[in-house]
Amino acid sequence: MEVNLPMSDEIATPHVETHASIWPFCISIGVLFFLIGLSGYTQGNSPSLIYPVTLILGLLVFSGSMIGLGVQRFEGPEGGFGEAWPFQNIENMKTGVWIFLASDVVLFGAFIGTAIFIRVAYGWTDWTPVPDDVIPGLMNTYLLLTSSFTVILALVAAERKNRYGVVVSLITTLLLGIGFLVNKGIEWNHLFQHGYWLSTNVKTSTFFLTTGLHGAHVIGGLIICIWLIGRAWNGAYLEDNRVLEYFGLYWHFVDIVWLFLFPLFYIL
Amino acid sequence: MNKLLQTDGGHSDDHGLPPMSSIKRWLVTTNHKDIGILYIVTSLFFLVMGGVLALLIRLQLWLPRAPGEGLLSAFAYNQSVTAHGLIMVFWFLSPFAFGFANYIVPLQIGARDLAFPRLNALSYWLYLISGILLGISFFQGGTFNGGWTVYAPLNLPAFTPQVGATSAILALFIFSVAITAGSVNFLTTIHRMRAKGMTLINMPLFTWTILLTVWMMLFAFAALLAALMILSSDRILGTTYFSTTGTQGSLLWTHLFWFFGHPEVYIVFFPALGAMAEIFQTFTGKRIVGRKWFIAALVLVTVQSFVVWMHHMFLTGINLEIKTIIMITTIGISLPFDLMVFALIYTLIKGRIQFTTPFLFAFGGLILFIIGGITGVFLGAVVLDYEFRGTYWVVAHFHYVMVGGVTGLVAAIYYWFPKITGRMYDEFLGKVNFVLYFIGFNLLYFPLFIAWETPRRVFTYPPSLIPWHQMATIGGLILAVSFAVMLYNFFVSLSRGEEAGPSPWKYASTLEWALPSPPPLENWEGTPTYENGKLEFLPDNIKTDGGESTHE
Amino acid sequence: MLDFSFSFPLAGSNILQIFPTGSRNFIFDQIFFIFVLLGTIVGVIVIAYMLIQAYRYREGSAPKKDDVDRPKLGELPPPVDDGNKLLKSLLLSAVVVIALVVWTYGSLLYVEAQPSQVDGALTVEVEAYQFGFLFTYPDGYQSTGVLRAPVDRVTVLKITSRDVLHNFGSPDLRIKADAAPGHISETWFLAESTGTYDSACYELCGAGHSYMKADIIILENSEFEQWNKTKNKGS
Repeated sequence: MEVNLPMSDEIATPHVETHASIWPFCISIGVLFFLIGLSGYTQGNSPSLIYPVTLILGLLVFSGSMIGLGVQRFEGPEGGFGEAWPFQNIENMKTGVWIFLASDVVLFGAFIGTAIFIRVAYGWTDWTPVPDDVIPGLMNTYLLLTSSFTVILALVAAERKNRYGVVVSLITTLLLGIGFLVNKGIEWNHLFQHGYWLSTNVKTSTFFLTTGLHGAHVIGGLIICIWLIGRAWNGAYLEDNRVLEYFGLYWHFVDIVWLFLFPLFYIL
Repeated sequence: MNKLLQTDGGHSDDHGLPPMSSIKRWLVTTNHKDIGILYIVTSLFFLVMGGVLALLIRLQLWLPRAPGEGLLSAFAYNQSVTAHGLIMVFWFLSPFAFGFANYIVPLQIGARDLAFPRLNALSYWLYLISGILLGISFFQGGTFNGGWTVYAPLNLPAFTPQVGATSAILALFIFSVAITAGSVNFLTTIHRMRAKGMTLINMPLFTWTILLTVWMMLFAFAALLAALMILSSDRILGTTYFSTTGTQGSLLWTHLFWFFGHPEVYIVFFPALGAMAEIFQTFTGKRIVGRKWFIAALVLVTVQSFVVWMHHMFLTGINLEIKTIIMITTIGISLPFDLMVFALIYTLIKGRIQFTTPFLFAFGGLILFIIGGITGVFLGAVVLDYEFRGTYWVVAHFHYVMVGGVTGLVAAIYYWFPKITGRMYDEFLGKVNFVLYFIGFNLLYFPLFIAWETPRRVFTYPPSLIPWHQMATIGGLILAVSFAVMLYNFFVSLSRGEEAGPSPWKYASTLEWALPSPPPLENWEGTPTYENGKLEFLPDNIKTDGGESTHE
Repeated sequence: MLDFSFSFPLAGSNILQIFPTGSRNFIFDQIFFIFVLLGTIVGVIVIAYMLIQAYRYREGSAPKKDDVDRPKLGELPPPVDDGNKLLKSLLLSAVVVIALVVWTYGSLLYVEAQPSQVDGALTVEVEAYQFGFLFTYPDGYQSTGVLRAPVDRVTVLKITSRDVLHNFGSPDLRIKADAAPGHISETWFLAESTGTYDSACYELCGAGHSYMKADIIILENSEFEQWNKTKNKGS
C-alpha cells in the first residue's frame, strides 16, 4: 500500500479543532453495499450476479474511505482538563483503546464460552481437537509471541529516536504476522483437503469460526501495522510514540487471546 | 433535515464546516450537536416506521382471524411483529436517547465535543445504514420473521430461508458495531473530559444514566455481537452452532441473547430515567431527594443487570437451583428501582411544581413505570411466570416499562427542544399531546393485562376477549395521533415559536442552560470550570493543567 | 423436604400449609389473586399519593413562607444527607416484595417436584412440530391434535420438538413448557373436571404459529380406561 502519508508537518500548528470529515459517511456507504452483497449468500449461494457485484463495490468503497480516513488530518478536542477519574494519567486515545479491548474481551469470552458450552453438551471427553497435528498451532504461538516482542522493540527504538529501528521492528512484526497467517492458511488448506469444512460438524464449526475471528483480528492488526510503517518511514513516532504503544496494547491482546485458543482447540 | 436550517447558531467561526442550510454540512459534520440532531430526526423516522407496523398488528387483532383473513397474511404478520420489536428496541429507543446524549452530555460535563468526533460520526452513519438495510430486507423476499428474540433454530435458513432475513441479521450486526464504537467514545468522553470540579458524584443525573448505559452497552452488545457473528456464519458459511443437529443449539442462543437482552432493558430505560430526574428537579424546583442513594441505586442496577438474564428462561431447561438464584437476583434488581421511584415522588414535596409539558410527560411516565414495575413483580414469582410466559401479560408489562421509558424521552424532547432549536414549543399543543398520549397509552396497554390469556404473536384468540383487543386498537390509534400532534407542534414551533433565550426554565441548574440557545459550534468561549463550587468560564489564555492535545 | 402425597383434590385446603398446593389451576388462582389484590392496593396508594403531593405543591398554591433552597443555574449539587425517609420506604417495599415472592417459593418447589413418581400418573410424550403436536401414550399409541387424559389424576408430559423451538401451553389447565429440539422438558397437570380444553403453541415458530393448536379432552376415569383399551383397535 503506497500512500503518501503526511506526518511530520503536523507539529507546531496552533490547536484548531476540525469539525468536518466526509469519510465516516463514505465508509458507511461502503459497508451498506458490502452487507447487501453478503446477504445474497444466504445458505452459501448467491441467487444472482447483483450480489457479488454489490459486495465487491462495497469493499472497494470501504477500503478507499478507510484510507481516506487514515491519511486525513483531524484535530480532536482535548481531554483531561479537569476531572478524569479514574483515568487521570491515561490520555483519551489510550483510554479508548483499553475500553475497546474490554469489550473485545467479552466478544472473545462469548465465543470461547460458546465453544465450551457446545463441547460440554457434546460430551467433553468425546471431543477431540480438529487439527490432528499440533505443530502448526505451536509454531503460530511462537510467531505471535515473537511479534509481540518486536512491537516492544519498535517502542524502544522510538524512545531512542531511532527511525530506522522503528521501521525495521514494525516490518519484522508485519512479517511475523504474515507468517502466522500463511501458516494458518496451509493448516486450514490441509484440513479442507481432508474434508473438514466449517459445515462438516459442530466441532469444525467452533474450530474454524473461533480461530477465524482471531485471524481477522490479526489481519486488522497487520493493516494498522502497514499504516504505522508508512508513517514511521516518514519519521513519525520519534517525538510522540504513543500511537505505537496503543498498537502494542491491541497486538498483545490478540496474542493473549491466542494463548487461550491454542490449548482449547489444539490440545484439550 | 432542512427544517433545522433556521437554527444555525450564527457563530462566525465555522472551521470550514458548511452552514446548516447546506446538505453537505450534514454529511461531513462531526460536531456532537449536529450528530445529536441527526440521531433525533432519524430515530423519529424509525418511530413512525415501527409505529405503522404496530398499527398493522393492532388492526389485524381487531377480530380473531381465520387463515388468510384480515390485512396481513400469516407470514406478513410474523414479519410485522418481528420488525416492530426490532425497530422500536434497537432503531428507535436507544438512538432517540443517544440523540440527547450526543447533544447534552458534552455540554453538561463541560467538554467541547466527544473524545473522538469522527468515530461519533461513523457511529451515526453505521446506525443509519443499518436501518436502511433493515428497510431493504423487506424487499428481499421478506424480512426476518422469527420474533425480535431471534430464537434458534428458527433463525436458521432451514426455517427462515429469505435473503431478507439474513439482511436483517446483518443490519443488527452492524448496528451493534455502531453501538460499540459509540460506547467507547462516550466512556472516554465522560471519564476523561469533565470540567474541573465536575467529579463523578457531581455529574447531572442524565449524564450519570448515560455513563452507566454505555458501560452496560459496552459489555452487553459485545455478547450480542458474538451471537450475531455466529448466527451470520450459520446462515452464510453453513456452520452448525444453532442447528437442530447440533446439541443444545437452541439453549445456547437463549443464553447468548438474554445475556445481552436483559441489560438491554436497562440500556433502553436508563436515559429516560435520567431525563425524568432532571425534569423533576427543574419543574418542582426541588433537588432530587437522596441524590447519592439514587446514584448508588443506578450503579447497583448496572452491575446486577448482568446476573439476571436467566429469568427469561424459567421454562427453558435450567434447573431449580439456578432458578432460585436467578429469582433472588431478580428481586434484588427490582429494589433499587423502588428507591428511585420513591426519590422522584419525595422530590415533589415542598416543590413549586410547574405543570409544563415536559413535567407532565415525566410525571405520567413515572406513573406508567410504577404500573409496569408492579406487574413485573408478578413475573418475578416463578410459579406465576410459568403461566404468563408467552402471553399478553408479558406484552403488556414490558410495554408499560419500555413505552413508559418513551414517555420519559418525550418529556426530554420537550425539555430540551428550546435549547436545541432556540424556540419554544407550543404549550397548548404540548398539553393536548400529553392528554392524548396518556389516554391512548392506557387504552392501548391496560386492556392487554385483562386479555392476558391471549398467546403472544398470534392473531387468533378466544372471542370473549374481542372487546379488550378492540379497545387496545382504538388506544393505539389515539397514541399514534398524539405523536402526530407532537411532530406538528415541533414543525410549527421551529419557525413560529417564541425565542427561548438561554434558559426558559426557572430552576434549571445544569451547564447547558447557561449557554445561548442553540449553543455556538464550539459551545463556549474559554474553559468552563466548577472549581469554586459553581460554574465559571475561564478565559482561554489561562492554561489549566493537563490538556495535551491528542490527535485522533 | 415437602411431602408430595398428591391427595387431590384435598390439597390446598390444608390450613397448616401456608403456600398453596394442589392442581396447577388452584395454585395459580390463589397466588394470582393475592398478587392482584396487593398490587392494586399498592399501586392505588402510591399513585394517589403522587397525585395529591403534585397538586398540593403546585406553583401558585401560596406557600406561607418559602424556606426551601431552590436549585440555581450553574450550581454543583450540595452535599446533603436526605436519604433517611428514602431508605425507610425502600425497606418497607423490600419487605412486601420479598415476602410475596418467598411465599410463592414453596409452591414453586411443589410444582417442580417430580410427580412422575406418583402412583397412577399417566405419562404422555409430546412432540411439537411445525405446526402441530404429536402425543405418544405409554403403549406407543400416537395421535395428533388431541390429547386424552383422565380427570383427577396427574398427567405427566415429556415435551420435545422435532424442528424449532415451540412451547406447549394450555391456559385452562395452567400447563406451560418449552419444546426444544434435542431436549425433553417435563411438566404435569391435574384436571379437576371433565371437558375439552384448548392448548396452543406459545412460542413464535413460523408462519403457522397462530393455528398451532391441540385439544385436551378430559374424561371420567372409567371412560378413559375404556378409550385406553379400545384406542388401538379403532385406528
